[in-house]
Amino acid sequence: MELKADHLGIGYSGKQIAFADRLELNTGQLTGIIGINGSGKSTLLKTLEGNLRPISGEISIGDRSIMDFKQSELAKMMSMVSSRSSISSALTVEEIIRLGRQPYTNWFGKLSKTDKRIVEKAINTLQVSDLKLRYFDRLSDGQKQRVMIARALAQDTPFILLDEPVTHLDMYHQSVVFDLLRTITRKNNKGIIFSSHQINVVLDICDELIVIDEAAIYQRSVQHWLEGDALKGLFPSDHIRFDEATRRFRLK
Amino acid sequence: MFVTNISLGSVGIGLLDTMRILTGSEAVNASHEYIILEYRLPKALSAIMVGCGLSISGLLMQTLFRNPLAGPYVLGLSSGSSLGVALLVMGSGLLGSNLAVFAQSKYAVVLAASLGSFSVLLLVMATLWRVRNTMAILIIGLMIASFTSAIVSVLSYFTSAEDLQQYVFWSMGSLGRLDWQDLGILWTLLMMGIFIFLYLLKKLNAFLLGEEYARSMGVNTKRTRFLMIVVTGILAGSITAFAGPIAFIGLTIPHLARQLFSSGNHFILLPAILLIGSLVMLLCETIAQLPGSSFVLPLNAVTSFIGAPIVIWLILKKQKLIF
Repeated sequence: MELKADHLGIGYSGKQIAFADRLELNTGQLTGIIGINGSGKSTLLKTLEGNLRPISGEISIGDRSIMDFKQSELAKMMSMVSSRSSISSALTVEEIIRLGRQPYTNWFGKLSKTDKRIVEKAINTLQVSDLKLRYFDRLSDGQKQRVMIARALAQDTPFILLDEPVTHLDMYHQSVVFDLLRTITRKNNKGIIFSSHQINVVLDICDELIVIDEAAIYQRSVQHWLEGDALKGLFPSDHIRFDEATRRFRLK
Repeated sequence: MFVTNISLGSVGIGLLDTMRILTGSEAVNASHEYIILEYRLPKALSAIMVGCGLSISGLLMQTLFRNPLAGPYVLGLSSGSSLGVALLVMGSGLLGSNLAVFAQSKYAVVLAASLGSFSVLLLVMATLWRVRNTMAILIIGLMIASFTSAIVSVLSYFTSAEDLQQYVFWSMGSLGRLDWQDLGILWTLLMMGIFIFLYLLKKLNAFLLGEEYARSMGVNTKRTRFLMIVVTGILAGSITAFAGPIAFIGLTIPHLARQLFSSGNHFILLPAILLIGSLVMLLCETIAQLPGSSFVLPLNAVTSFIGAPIVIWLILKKQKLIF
């Protein structure tokens, strides 16, 4: 399945902050979004999720515009992991992950056997089964992130969008999350799109890379980015340079 | 609790006798039967309904605004009612005697209070169309409240002592004003509120992750938010109209339920708040009667006496408030 955007202008209250000629995201692909602070990474994710109206252009899933989806149908296509939401401390980990099944349950939210199996699978994939009965706010940041990814996985959508999933994590837990994203993309055939400031890791693990640079959004394969000169100009050159030999950004 | 509340009052009636009268068997004392059926039974029933209604409104507002200090009155509803009643009671004195007679009638007060809270509700809804930000609605509600209470204080400065007294009595809150017909109206509205709450149950749990997550899980957040505000407006508005402003119940009961059951899950909270809300309201009403004496305390003060320490106690005991 494909998540596509054509001539997409993104921004708030009529003011465009960036423009993409064409984006094409596929299931089974891991896509990273990079760009400096304030370049519009979160705005792009929100727009793709359908939480923010595009200024111009159109987003479609499987050739159907997301405007034509009902909210409940869209919830079966895309799930998200946000970095800013304030989550109630009065819910247990299991309750939160079960909420992921909402698009599929009846008005009373009763879980069928299938629902329970999918929840159980998500819990096992993210290795949070020993946290099931804990309250969310008693968890460490790394655990919280795993729980929220498990919730998104339980929603069982072809696409998962994550806004800076490793921001508050130390290096070890960052690598845990990145590893999980890569595994889920391959094993569960998901299309995972995430924004991050960890450019070097993104270059290592992603298939596709979306770069937001000076109000323009480009998408190419990681290979393509590495071969060209495009990455050299991403940051002002006074402090950081791109080292082609090691495929790493380095401090000068 | 229910029977105790009925049996206690300025005239003490034994628990056994109370039971007998309530179950419809041969009355021991005709005047006791009259007191119970025409006065105390409706009052106990209205205590239960008021407790349930305010708790539901409070829980809805806390879930909508994701703010532990939200309650049924954050939208400025009680201030709206107060303004309505103040305008009626104090304004009519200035306008002439015909209106003044009308102002004395109970239904005029109920009508004025309803109109007041309803116009505040409309104002809040109108701002809902313009702003998407939930926090903005909360602030607008608070500002409306300050604005209307400013008008009330100006009015009370120019009004006669008698009219002022009538207004003050209304603002103390009392369940003694409700007759069987009022109870019928309140019952219908309460059932409607509970029905819509049941319809929203699943979506309310999604709201506990924040509106963005709720939307991503398929919840039509605009419509849900609209329904939450309408239910709160109708329940809190009608209760205030009949019984006057009653503080702290709507704020405290959901907290009490959350801490007692260690859960924010609305499937658990709904029965919990209905039960605790009824019990606490009956308790407050019983205390307000000052059993054995002919004095009656303002209900609004009793609920504050009980509500405020409960909230403080919850925070001190639990260290971290589950919310």
